[in-house]
Amino acid sequence: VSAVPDHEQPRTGGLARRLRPLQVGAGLQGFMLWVPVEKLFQTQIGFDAAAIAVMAAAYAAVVPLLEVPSGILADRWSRSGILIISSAAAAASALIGGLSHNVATYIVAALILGANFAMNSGTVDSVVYDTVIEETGSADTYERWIGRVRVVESAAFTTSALAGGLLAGVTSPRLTYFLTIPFVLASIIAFSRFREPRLHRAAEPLALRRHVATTVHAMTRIPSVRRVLVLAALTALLSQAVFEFGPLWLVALHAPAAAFGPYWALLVATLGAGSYLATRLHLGRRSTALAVAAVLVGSPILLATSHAVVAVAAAQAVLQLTLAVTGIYAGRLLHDAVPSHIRAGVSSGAGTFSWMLFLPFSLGFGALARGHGVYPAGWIIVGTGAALATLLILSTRAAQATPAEAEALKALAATAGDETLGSDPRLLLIVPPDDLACRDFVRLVSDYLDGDLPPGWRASIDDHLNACDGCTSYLEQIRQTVALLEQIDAIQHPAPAKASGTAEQPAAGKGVHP
Amino acid sequence: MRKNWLAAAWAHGFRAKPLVPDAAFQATDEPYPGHWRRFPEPWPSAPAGEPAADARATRRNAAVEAAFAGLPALWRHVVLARYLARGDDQQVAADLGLTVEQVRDILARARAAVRDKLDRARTDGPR
Repeated sequence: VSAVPDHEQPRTGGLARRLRPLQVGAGLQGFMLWVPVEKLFQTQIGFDAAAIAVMAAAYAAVVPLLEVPSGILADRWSRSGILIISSAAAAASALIGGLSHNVATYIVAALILGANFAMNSGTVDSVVYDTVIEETGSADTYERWIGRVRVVESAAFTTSALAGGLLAGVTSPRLTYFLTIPFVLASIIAFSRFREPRLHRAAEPLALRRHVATTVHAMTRIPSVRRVLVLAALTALLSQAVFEFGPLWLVALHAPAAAFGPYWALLVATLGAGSYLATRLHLGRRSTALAVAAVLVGSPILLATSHAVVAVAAAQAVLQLTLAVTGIYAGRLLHDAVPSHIRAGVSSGAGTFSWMLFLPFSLGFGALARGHGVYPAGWIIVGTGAALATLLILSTRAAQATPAEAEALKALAATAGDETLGSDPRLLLIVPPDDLACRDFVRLVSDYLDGDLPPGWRASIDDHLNACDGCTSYLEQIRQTVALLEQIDAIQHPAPAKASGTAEQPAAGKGVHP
Repeated sequence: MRKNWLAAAWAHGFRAKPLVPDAAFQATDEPYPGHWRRFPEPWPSAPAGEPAADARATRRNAAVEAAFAGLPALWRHVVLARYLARGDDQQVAADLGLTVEQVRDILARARAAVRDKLDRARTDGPR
């Protein structure tokens, strides 16, 4: 009888130890001292609002393009390797940025930083995901572990913001770039000490082109999905805009360098606070949605009119906090609105869509700010905020899909071959489906072989096997695999107690794949 | 902070965790959604004793060894422990400090992974 209570997840000690280098690496890579004073430094080396906007637009165009190849490289080569390269890119970017004396050189640094983000985004997630599966057999605790990495990261963002602002105040903004480099280089050491998961998560469940097609289909045919996607993209766009252009208000108001640190720390902290607040607020409720909508319009108006540093910083922080809450709510709406198999595609579609919107937004903002200053340009943020607020109210009112939409969704889910069993077959073993798909059979085959299924399900699977040669072959192959795996033990391998987990057979797989 | 944090925040909620990649099954616009896109090819079975069959068995055992060695350490332990415990999942779970659900999950994944490797080794093609 097991001494471990069922409700606890054992072996978390081993998992925690294994993930530690990754957490340390992510924290060190997030310790970027120059970020809070970037706009100040840019102004010093000759950037005006339009040049900053061009840089941001170039960045928005490059990052989505880099994300695909870096994702493929991570799957085919090594995820630790990708993280190490991304750290190297961050170091190179800080060095070139710190050495910059003109706009062109600095844009090169920014684009190299784009490579850093493109390589980083999603890589840490998938590494944590695979490690959790390796160590626990399922992804149930994934959320908790990725959450810990995010906590370390945001702690690094916040402390580096405070430290960077202070440092720039005492010395110079330029120095913050050079002092970032040792931290980023140290993250390379941390990443290289991480024992990478051996599993490579089967890249993308569907081919990219198919994902795009299904996403476009969902977007164009189903109004409720379209609304959620636009809501999500506008939220991301505004958030991006505040991070990119918000500091220009402080520059315009001649805030001292030391003020940039606390300001930036506050802005970054809203991301974490937003995800906490999102669990407390029910945006589906009309009154809450109206209040949030009022903030989405009110805080940009304050930003566009106030000339006090504290009021401007507070307006941005409140706006950013509200956007974080709205973004999480939009994610939830999206989750409910689309079938699970196209969710990943639709959500990355929303990400790309927001980059695409950001491009003209950024150029427009920059042009207006150069001609007339940031205050008139701030009204673009007010306008976008108002559009977002309207959309938010509309989507809460239409939270329930119309009958026609529900029908369309059902059809989409059916044709997408949506998981009839949900994420965990065991949870839904109440009634076997009339028509079992091969995809479902594959998930149940192990339990079927070991006689671990209720009688109703056995019958349903037997029916399917009678009619399906493919699944009959698959079952037979799994049966043979089990037999072969049982033979393996006696001959070659010591008992598990002695195998001790760390002794990895060196490159034994090489003979198989020529 | 030029990070598309929203896309990053969403990415985790939406991960599938299939034993066999979803690409193996038909999707939205195909005639039989959820069913095999291409049936798994049956593995040849010849009576033992024939030279060809023996050679194949030797090759296959090597492939099993390699596939097994390629599994994560914990998975190897579960497979071995289950053999020693004669299929008693409770016993395996207790021995390794896992829950029974974890043992079942790991076993299913390990079997699917080894089958996949064997299938690829059989066709002898790098995919």
